[in-house]
Amino acid sequence: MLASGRSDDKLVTEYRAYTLKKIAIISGGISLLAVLVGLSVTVGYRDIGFFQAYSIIFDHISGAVYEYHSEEWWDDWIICNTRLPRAIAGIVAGAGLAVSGAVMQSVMKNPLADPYTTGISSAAVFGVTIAMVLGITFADMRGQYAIVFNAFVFGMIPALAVMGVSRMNSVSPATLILAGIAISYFFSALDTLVMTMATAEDIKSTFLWQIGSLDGLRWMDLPIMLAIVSIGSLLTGMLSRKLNILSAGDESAAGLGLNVSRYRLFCLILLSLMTASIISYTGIIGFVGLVVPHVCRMILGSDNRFVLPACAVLGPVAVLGADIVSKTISPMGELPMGVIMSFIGGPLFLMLIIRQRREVW
Amino acid sequence: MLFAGICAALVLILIVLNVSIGLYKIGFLDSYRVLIDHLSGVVPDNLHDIREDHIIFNQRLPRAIAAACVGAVLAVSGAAMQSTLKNPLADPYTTGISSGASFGVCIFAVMGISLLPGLSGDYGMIANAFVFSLIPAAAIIVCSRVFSASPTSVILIGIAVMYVFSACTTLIKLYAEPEDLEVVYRWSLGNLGKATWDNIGYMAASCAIAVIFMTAAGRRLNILTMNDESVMSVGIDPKKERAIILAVVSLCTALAVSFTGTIGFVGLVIPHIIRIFMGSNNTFLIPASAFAGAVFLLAADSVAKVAGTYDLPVGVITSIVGGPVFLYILIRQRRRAW
Repeated sequence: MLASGRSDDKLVTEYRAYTLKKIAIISGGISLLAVLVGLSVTVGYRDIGFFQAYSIIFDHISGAVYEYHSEEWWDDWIICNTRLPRAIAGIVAGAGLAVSGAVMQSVMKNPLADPYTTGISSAAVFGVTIAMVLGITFADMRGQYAIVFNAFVFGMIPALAVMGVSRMNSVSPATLILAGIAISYFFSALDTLVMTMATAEDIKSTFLWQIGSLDGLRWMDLPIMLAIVSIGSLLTGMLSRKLNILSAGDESAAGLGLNVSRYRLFCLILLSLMTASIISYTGIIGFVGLVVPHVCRMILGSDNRFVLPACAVLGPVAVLGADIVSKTISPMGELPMGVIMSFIGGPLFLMLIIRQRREVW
Repeated sequence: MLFAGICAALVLILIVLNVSIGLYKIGFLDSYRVLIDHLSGVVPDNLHDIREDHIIFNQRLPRAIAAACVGAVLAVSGAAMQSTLKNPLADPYTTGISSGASFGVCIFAVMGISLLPGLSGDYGMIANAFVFSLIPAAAIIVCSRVFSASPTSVILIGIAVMYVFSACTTLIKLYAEPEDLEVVYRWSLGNLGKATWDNIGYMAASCAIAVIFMTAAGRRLNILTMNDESVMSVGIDPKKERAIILAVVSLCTALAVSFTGTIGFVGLVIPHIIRIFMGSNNTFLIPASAFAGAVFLLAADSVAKVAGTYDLPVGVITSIVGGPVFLYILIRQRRRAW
């Protein structure tokens, strides 16, 4: 009795230490993110120091007013109207994509799944392209809402298809991803078809947009993306226990009282919506949803209650990091961060395929 | 034999059909007349006939022949790869060989870098394409041997390599001049519009190499579809054989891709359709695939010409057809005719 009590105590202490470690890592991530925001706001054509940038933001929030077109006014304008929205868009996009990837991996029980590899991204892009080039939209909507809704509707097609394929017996994770890739080929071909009807100038701009870049995002682009991603992340955060149950296997999850297929569908809709809202503004940013959750799982283990918040913190770190690299190498935005993410993500994807069997799953 | 005869006839009909489509209207039968006249040495005397002869012979015929050659190369390469890698999903496109080759072409075209010194012009471009197409081929051989990867994993490895190469290609495209970009972009989608009498020789050569070599290797390909122990017991070194065949596939793909860009899924779709009709004996499969590939790409190019007044790339058509077929093959992989 006594002995078992002692080992219980030990277990509890260990568990607390384990939890504390996770919380420490997540808070470490948050502070890293704060530093990166500062850095991201600092890097750019106009020379503004790291601490100066913070003080400008602080002054702006506390309502400082500058003389029109003075040096301080320009600093304030550049930081608050161009660089800050870009950094915030990076945070939102990174968090949304990383959380979507983590949820998708749990729901599909597939270490290679993410919105990019399953074709959701390219289908969503097709939705955006037909809205932009041909002006075809669902329902009677205008402007940003129409584009996001189009992206969402098309993004659902691969999501449902991949789910349908995964229902079949004896489908390996790799097969599932190949199905997603086949769908994404199909949509990129359709996308190209639409693009060839566009004019030459449109091709350059659409091409640049598709690569994935935070360049040129303004405050007015943020609300829809921010709203959908924060609501989506909160919901998935609340449902993280159920995600844990789901990864125990469908039978066990059903035995524990979870309506597996309905829950899976709900998660897919949620993450398609998040992905669509992000992609409509930034273009395809690949591999964030694949790489970040894996890094989180390597450090934290696969308890979704911690993995999801960690993704929401480390996703932005990855996206902002890539964006800073992109801005440093090419101040005029010739090297979009989507390319940088592909450079990091492609080899990592390769590594994951090869060591699939020795996974922490 | 009957099948080959039908296919050869189809190729001829489609070449003429393809030739008769275009902005300048020339009827299907008229095209025949112009072609036969030209071949039998009749010199056109009035302006109208000269114009028709020029359009058909110097502008449209190279494109049609290129379609036939490239279609045959890709289909044969796909059939050979499927047998050597024992993988129903393998083709030069899905394994990344095409994207490697197109990266090689891209760095040559935009930056003017030739990997093998002393080569310039078309040879430099082809050498580049070949060297880079060997990278994915080598990656696949190494990965499938060292990690004993499953067929689907092998394709995923190819796709991962493809992601890396497309990232590199994108990077180079970004530094290209805006005018160059449109050209490179359209080219990277697979476009037969650039074929002329000057470069058709390379495509014909690659077609000849692919068809003759692979048909000759048909028996060995059949043996390679068995497991490696059985292959060795017949006296063939499977590793060496596999490396040789992949190298030839890379060379032919590089030759074809250098002038037409990446045209996806021909190598995947065609051999599968042929397998349904003719079974998997490579001595018949390879020549039949060559004909069917030529037919398919000619048809796709005709569709592209009809559908697109904007010069629609043929790669788009093959992807729209090929994507769903790929999905279908993937799903019923276990019940396949292998």
